[in-house]
Amino acid sequence: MDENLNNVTESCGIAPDGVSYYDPGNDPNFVFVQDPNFEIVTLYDVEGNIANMNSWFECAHYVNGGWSSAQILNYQGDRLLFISILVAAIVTSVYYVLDLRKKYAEK
Amino acid sequence: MLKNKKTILSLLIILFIVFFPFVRYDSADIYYPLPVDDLSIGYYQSTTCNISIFEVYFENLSADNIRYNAHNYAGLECYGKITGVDKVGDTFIVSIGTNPSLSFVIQILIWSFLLFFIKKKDGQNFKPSNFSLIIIPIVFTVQQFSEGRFYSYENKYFSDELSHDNYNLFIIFIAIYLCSILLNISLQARISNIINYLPFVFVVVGTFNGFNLNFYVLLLSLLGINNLFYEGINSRLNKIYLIFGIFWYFSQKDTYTFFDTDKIRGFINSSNTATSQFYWILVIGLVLNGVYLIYVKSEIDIPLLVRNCLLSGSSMVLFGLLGANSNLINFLNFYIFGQNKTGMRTFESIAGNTWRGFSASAESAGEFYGFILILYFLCSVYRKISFSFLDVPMLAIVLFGLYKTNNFAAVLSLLVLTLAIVLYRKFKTVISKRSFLIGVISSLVIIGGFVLNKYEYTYLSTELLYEASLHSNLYTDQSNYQKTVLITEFFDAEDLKTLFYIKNPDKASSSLSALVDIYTSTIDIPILPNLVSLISVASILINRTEMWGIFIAKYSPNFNEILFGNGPNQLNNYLYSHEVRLDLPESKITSLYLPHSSLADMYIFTGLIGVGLILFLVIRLLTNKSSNQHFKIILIFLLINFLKSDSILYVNSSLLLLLSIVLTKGYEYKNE
Repeated sequence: MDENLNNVTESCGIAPDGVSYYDPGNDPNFVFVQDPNFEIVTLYDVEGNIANMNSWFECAHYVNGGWSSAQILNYQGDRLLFISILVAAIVTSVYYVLDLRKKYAEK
Repeated sequence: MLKNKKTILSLLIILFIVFFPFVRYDSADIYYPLPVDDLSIGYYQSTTCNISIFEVYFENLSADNIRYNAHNYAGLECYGKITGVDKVGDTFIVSIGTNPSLSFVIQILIWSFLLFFIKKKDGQNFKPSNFSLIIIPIVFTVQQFSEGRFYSYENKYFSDELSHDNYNLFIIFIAIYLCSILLNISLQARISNIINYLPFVFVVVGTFNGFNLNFYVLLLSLLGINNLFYEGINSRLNKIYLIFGIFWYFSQKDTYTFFDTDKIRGFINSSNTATSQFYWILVIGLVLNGVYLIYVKSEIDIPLLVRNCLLSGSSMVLFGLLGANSNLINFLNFYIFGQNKTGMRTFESIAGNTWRGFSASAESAGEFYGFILILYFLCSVYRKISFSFLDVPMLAIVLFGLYKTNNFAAVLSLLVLTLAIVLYRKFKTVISKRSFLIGVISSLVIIGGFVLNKYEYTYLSTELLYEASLHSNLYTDQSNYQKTVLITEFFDAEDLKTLFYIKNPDKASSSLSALVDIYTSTIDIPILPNLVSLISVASILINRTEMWGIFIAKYSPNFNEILFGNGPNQLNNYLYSHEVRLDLPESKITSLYLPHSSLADMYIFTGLIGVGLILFLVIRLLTNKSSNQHFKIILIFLLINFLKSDSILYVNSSLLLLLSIVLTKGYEYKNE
């Protein structure tokens, strides 16, 4: 429970005065009311999905559901981009070396 | 024909790289764009990273209350897609995912490929060193650590952990390595021609999204490495720079501050930590070597340069107008051209004053437009270009841009210098150049005297000190109003010593104290005016009293800093080391107040010795008989304007200064 509280504070900040978290359960009519004083927080889930939080309560609810303000660095896209650019760099390096050799040979 | 095909193909590749992330559309996609309004905010909030910006744009073509903002915290999967919609007042802010890593890769590739459009010069007059391919990626990746606070603030994915899964760092390193290869390939046969395409730096600004790095800094550093490799470190420039570097590095402050870089992002040190200081000393040293290499290798082609000036100047105005008209284009301008700050969203001037349009600074833009006009005028007068009807609309657009920037100094100096050229050409057979110069300067002094005639001498000579006192943290227990009343009483009584040394000891900055000492000095040399009075009068004439007053109030250097400055592109100590209490409206107190003079900027960076060296070089360049007499006017135009603006803090304006120096120094003996 303490860990959850810490996570909420870390991702959403300290609860505003008079607001505390309670589980809204499975009420289909429950609506998260926007708090104009709350600075919007972006949360992420393990699959990399994004949700913007408009109130501390909404934020706390998402964090308790496993969302976090920290996106996992090892997201597949980063690795894909890294591999793509590495391949491009290798191909360009090979071209560059061959081109240099050709120019030296001509001289 | 084949060459045209290649060019078209290259253009298509660049356009594909630019637009692909923003137009991605999946026919199997179950998420479709909706009109952006109060009802659809929730929909967009719950379907983040699924709808592309172009889908939303075309669904909301008629809406004029939508603003597109870059959202750097989004992951790669959200690139170019909507990451949220919020309503602020009546405006809907649509956030577009612009992950910094992918932005960096895309921007570095676009700008590197653009260099291939520069026309090759005959022969291969530059053999790049492979050494640069290793050094450059290391140096610029190290910046991620040295300015860690900036990057952790700008980039959610930033981590300074050296681990195998820190892809952010690897991506940056490899992207810079790839860029270095592309630059080495493209520059081999183009380095001498770069100077003729230099005006385009005002269109492709080159500041990386989410980075405190500019593409041209990277390019010049790469050239700098090459210069060091072939010419050695033993040049006079490097020896002097090394001495300055040692002083800068060892004159560290005890407290570390952070500057968010604001509109000068990409060319300013965000921190005053030792590593950050070392990084910028190294990078600016490399940039200076790169600038020297360009200076040495440049071959000016006047018709090409003038055409490129007109093209870039008019494009800058047009992109600014398009960005003001369309929020989507405003966003794309920021992303594609690497603006330091998004362009203006309206056609209205700020407070009825200036319209900066595409540029981060109206002053810098005005100087560029003025530069184009004076260059065109000179080249026409001295028959270095042939007139083309196509020039007329471009000149008109540039003139319109100058008018909108409301840069009075640029307009006035343009008119005065143009008139001087016309008169000199008419009377050069009957009057010597020296007499003509004396006549021009005397006329300006007389006109200045006429303008200031209504003010009394004491007011003119103390106004700058008075303004600086108002912004100082004097009478800390009094309100700003009371402070003003008390300061005014002492200034009226001409009792500055009591004000600063008895009533408010150690409250004024060392700059203000020094100026007060100079002003109240008992040494009086007949005929020679007091230095402080002279600067004060000049500041009134060019409407810089308040800004220079703030600079004097804020800047409190120690002895070392007075002599050698704080280090290259280091404003932290100027901005945060001395406490001030600005006498400004509440809403303006937190704004960024730069010194409003490039000379003052250089004084902060390099101290009195540095400024002395710079002035010596400028005077030598202007008085050197081998310098091109016609193009000296352009250098004078820029120098006059730089005296009252912070343009030296912008990469493109600094490069414009380089261009004017090359024109002045190099053109004649290389092309005629």
